[in-house]
Amino acid sequence: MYGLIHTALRDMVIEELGDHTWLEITEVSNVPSDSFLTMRSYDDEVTLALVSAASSVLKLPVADALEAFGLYWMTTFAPKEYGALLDHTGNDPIQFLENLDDLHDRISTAFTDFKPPSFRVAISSQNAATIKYVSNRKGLTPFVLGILKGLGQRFDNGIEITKIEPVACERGEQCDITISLENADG
Amino acid sequence: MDSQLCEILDQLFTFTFSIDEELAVSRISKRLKAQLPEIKDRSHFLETFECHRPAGIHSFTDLETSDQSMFLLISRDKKLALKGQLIRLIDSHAYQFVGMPWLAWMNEKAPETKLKLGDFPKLDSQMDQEFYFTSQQSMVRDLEELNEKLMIAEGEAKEASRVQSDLFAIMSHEMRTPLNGVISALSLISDEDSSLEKNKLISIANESANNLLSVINYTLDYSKIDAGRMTLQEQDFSLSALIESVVTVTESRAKEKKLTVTSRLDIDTSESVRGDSEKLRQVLINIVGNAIKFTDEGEVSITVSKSKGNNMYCFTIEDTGAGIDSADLEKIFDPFWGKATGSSGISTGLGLNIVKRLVEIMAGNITAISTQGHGTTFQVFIPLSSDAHTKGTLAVEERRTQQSQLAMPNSFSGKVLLVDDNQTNLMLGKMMLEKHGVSVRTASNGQEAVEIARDITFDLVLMDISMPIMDGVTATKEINNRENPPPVVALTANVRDELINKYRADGFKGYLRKPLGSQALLTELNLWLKPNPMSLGVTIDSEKDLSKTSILEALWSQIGEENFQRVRELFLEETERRVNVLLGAWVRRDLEAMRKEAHTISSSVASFGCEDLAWRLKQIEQASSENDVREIIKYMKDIESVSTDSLKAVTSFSVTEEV
Repeated sequence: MYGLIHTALRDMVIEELGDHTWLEITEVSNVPSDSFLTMRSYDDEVTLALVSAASSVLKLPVADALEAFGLYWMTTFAPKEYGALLDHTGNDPIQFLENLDDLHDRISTAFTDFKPPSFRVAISSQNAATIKYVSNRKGLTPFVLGILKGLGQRFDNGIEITKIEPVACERGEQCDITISLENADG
Repeated sequence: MDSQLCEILDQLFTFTFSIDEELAVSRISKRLKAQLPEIKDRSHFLETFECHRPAGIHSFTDLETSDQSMFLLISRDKKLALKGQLIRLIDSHAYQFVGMPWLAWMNEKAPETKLKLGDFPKLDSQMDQEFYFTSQQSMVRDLEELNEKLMIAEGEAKEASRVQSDLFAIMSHEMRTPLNGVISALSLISDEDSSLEKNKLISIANESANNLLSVINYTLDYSKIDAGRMTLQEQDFSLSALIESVVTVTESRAKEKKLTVTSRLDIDTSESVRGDSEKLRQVLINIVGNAIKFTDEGEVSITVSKSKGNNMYCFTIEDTGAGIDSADLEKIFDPFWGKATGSSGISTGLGLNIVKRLVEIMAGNITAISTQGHGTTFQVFIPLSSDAHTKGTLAVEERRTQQSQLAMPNSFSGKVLLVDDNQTNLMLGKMMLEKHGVSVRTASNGQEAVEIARDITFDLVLMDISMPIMDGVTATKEINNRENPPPVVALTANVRDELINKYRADGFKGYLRKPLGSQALLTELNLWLKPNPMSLGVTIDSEKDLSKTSILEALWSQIGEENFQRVRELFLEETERRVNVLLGAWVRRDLEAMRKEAHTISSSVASFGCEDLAWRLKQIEQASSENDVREIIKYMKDIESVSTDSLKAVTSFSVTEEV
């Protein structure tokens, strides 16, 4: 994962729980440095070590920690760092999700080690859709759920996750996530 | 253009339209119409768009000449900017524009126009680049943050190291004082009073205490160098005098081992050189001391030579000792080396490391060669400027001529009143007088002296001239007005004939030049006081005292280390305070206050060998008394830095005799 992700995790912990908690998490994780470079690609083990240390220090299940991180990413970190790009990605949750692969494609041209997941949207009714999530990595579905909830907040249109259906796959993780929107207009 | 081709172009590009020879636009793509509703079929190209690039498009011919260029178009309502190119199909008289939003312009000039990722063809990289640049900015920020963290960490590390060095320095200093007490006490225990067994124990205690003192001294030096406080203190000096002093200091140990220490100077000894004589002396004493320590028979020789064509001096110290094996030779300058080898006697293992670092501070170099069983040769290369003016040497010469070899007692009985407003001079004078057995009272001004002399009968009064409240001349006149007055001798830095004559006329019985020299003092005491019956005759050899050693060394040996430490502490504190008073007076342009202060400080700084500072203060004193502000400025502008440097030199002075 790129340093960008680790920086976001650090910012979230420091903003919400203070420097000392971040220090504790890095100590527990045994990660050699608590400073990360946005465009440097780090081994996925660094990310996993940080997430599991955060879970242990905060006494939260890993899934809950990941979901909280997804929510922070979507509502705070990404708008702060890449506000204009998010604006270009969509005006409502569905449009945003439909363009998400395009956004990730463009990021891939700059971050050559970036292995983004794929999101395909199937609209089932005016206020419901199913997102087919496909990732090369295992265990990040809770992070996606946080992102989806954050999207609802971003567009002031509450998103409820009604169903998560895992799809069998040879590697990584896949699932169909059904969502319903509070307002039907997007 | 057939509709199939138009469709393909519309899939490849966000915005497309045709331009004919009359510059009318047609076949406008849906997405362009959606973004720019004003555009209609047959709209005039130049009325719809401002052609930002290429410049100077006014006709279809202009388009033909620029059809290989990039086109940057801005809608006349300034809500949309396009980036693209013209393509011309075979057999067509029209151009086809194909392009997409010009992202940078849109972000900057029309941020309210909401563009979406879908507005940019996949083959267009503007959006990718935006992400890339944003990330690059974050990267720069990350690096700046890291840099800042590193700088803070570096600062903290340096501070921690400084604190540690300070602690070492303070601890070493604090340990040295009581240890000196132990050594003095041990030396006072008379051998005659003790049994053979007790004497042996006292001797062990004495040796251990002295060893501990040298360990503490090294620790102090080491921490000073580590903290960067060991700076270069340059002065003019005579190399032959310096080498002789090294021989003098080390030869008693050599004699104990039946060794000889010889020196040879293959240089012109008539001229003085400029460099840090204290550090050089310390280096040579260390190496020679070491050579003596590891040599059981034969000799230790010191040779000084100079490279032709430059100012590099080479000091070669050769011994006939056991030698060092080649593996050890590589490590001898490492800290704690001596410790690891378990060499005889106590050792910090810091001596040669300190030597090397001192040599490096002097911009020099040190090497060692050795063959086991055939002795060791150390070579120290130090650059010393040899074209130095000879102010320092001349001063020594001058003093030299003032004293001849005399034999006289060194201990007297009697009461002496010492009067001076400079507290350092008072303490120093008192110590020097007490060394000669007399009892001393002190007074800080004429008034106080007159009052004390009213109640106590003194055998001699040593009176400073310029003092606050009541000056020395007035006080002397008052004392002389009494019955059987004691002889009053003037203490003065002004020894011009007319002033001396004036002092005699004012009732002074003699004068002593400041800074107080021990020979002159002895001569004066011999004149006015009774020698102690038990006093030993002492030969005054002014050359030995003054030319072979620095003023600080002479002072150190005159009053002993403990007294030296005490008076140095007072001197540093008083000089710093008085220099501040002088600076304050200068700010107020109070020339009278400046004259008095410069006079007071100059006498004690001269006692501590700060000749340059003393000389400047004398100039300031003189210029102040003549109201010559231009002259004062000349000397005041550097007084603070000269004073700081001088005090540093006094602070760092130490006498170390063995490795």
